Amino acid sequence: MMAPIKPLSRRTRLLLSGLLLGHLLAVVLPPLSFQTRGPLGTSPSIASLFAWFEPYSQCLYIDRGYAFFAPNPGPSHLVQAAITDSYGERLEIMFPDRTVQWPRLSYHRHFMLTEFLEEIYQPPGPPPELNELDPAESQYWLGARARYERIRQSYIEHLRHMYPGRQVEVRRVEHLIPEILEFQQRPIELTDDSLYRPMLDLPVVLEFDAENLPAVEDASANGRVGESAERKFQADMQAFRSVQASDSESVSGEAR
Amino acid sequence: MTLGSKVTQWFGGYVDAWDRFWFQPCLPYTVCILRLVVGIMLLYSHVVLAANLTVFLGETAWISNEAAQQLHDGSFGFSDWGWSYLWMIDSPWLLQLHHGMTILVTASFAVGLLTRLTGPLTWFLQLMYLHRMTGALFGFDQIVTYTAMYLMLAPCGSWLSVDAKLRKYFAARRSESGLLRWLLPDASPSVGANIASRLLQLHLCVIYLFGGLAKARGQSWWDGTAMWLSVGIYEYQSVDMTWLANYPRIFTGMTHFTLFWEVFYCALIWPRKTRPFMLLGAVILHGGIAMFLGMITFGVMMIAANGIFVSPEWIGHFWDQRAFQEAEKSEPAQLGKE
Repeated sequence: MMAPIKPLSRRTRLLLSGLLLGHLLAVVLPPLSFQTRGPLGTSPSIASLFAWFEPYSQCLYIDRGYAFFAPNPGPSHLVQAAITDSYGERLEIMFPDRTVQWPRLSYHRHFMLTEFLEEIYQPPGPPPELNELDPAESQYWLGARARYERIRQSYIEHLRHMYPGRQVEVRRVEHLIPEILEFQQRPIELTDDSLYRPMLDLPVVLEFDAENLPAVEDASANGRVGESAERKFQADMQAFRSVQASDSESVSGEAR
Repeated sequence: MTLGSKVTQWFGGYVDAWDRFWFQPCLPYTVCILRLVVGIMLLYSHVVLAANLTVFLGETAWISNEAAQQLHDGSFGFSDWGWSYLWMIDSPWLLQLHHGMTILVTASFAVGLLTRLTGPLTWFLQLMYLHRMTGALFGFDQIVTYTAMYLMLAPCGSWLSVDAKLRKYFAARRSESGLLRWLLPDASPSVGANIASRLLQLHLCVIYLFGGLAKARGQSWWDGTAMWLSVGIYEYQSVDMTWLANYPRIFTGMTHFTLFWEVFYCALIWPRKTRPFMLLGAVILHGGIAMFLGMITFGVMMIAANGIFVSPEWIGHFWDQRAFQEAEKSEPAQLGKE
């Protein structure tokens, strides 16, 4: 025979209701705070409310944004490592690699690690002008850059442990998704070389880009968005090639 | 009737509805099945981790102990309240010993052995791993941890478990000991089962609502190309679905279905008439993610979590008619029927 259920007293129900409401707020506010973030920061009303629940949310790991594949599914970010032994023999490996990391869960964790390096990436800097314009932002930049460098260095140290006595350099690589219209006309393998793009670790220059401005205006007027994007891509590639000319410089620039 | 009494009556109606929603005892069948799935998924996750333990934990991991701690402790100017004692364990053999214990506890939870103790312990250990493994986590880790967190509030080891066998074995002593009754609860309706179910249900609604709203900010979820972009990410791919590029009506339809299903889940999962369709949608969506986008663990766990919307009475009828009838006879008025 099962035990009879004692109904909860009013006081218990009241107490439990308070706790439940508090917990639900701690569940709702993190993604709300994430979505109400803009160029001016998080909406002050949400930020003030979330401040009360943030420690609890963070402790329980419920401080997530749930923005899966959002706002748009984008390219993936990989880590390429160059491992050189004392004879100068060079081994290049890319992470994640589903032929090496197995089962899929292990592969996916490696994939998340390479995406994490992209997520926390902060270019070298800050530009000297920023320190005068916004010292707090400049300080944030320094912290974010230090975090990126620390994690990148940790990846290098892990690989050095895996390959003792060898020199390790790493760089980030972006794996692009083929454009749908191009793919329909000329299907290519998703692993085609043209879809991999090394990501440069270059400082950001805070300068008014007069050359690009008309292109943006044109884009809104004539729908020629592709032109400015193409020019930017060509400029990136030119910058990349000039750094590549000194070969390992680009890689060691990341690895330092 | 005066205005005051009308307001009191109106307010009283809300209080009653709130009480019914949260505090009406319900059968634990759904949470027991969910315990089995969550336990197995967590066990699998820990076993996979065991094969790569020092790759993800310890001083020589991808993210070393020191670096992992620095991500949380303010070393770079931003800190949070995430904390893990695993930041301090450098010794590989100690990590292995700890991990062995974690696997043992999680396996006990999965089979429903001393679930009142192994439930909270499983969740706590998992939480420690999460705060240590920052950077290597994804949706699977979130949903499996949240489900374990809510399950520990319910008598989720009272059915399909070793505890249920022990309850029968210690039946005589159990009737005299409050501690044994707490440790080995029977599969009767309880407020704990209801609260755990409601919390997980609402958490799922929040996940899908914000998942949908975040997608709604992206152009590709409106022009329909998001599904193409998803299958075009090689790193996610487990089955080559790029042939979809030749069928724009199909992949754009899949995109629109995903967006609208996620946004409206929080409303349409509650009415009984729309619930089966929303659950079917969950199976299709997450089944697709599991089979084609390489996230088998995430897909399976999301489908299982959606199972929290399946009524325990229905499971009772479907699975264990006799146990259900027994419970119905003993507590006819408190079965949590709405």
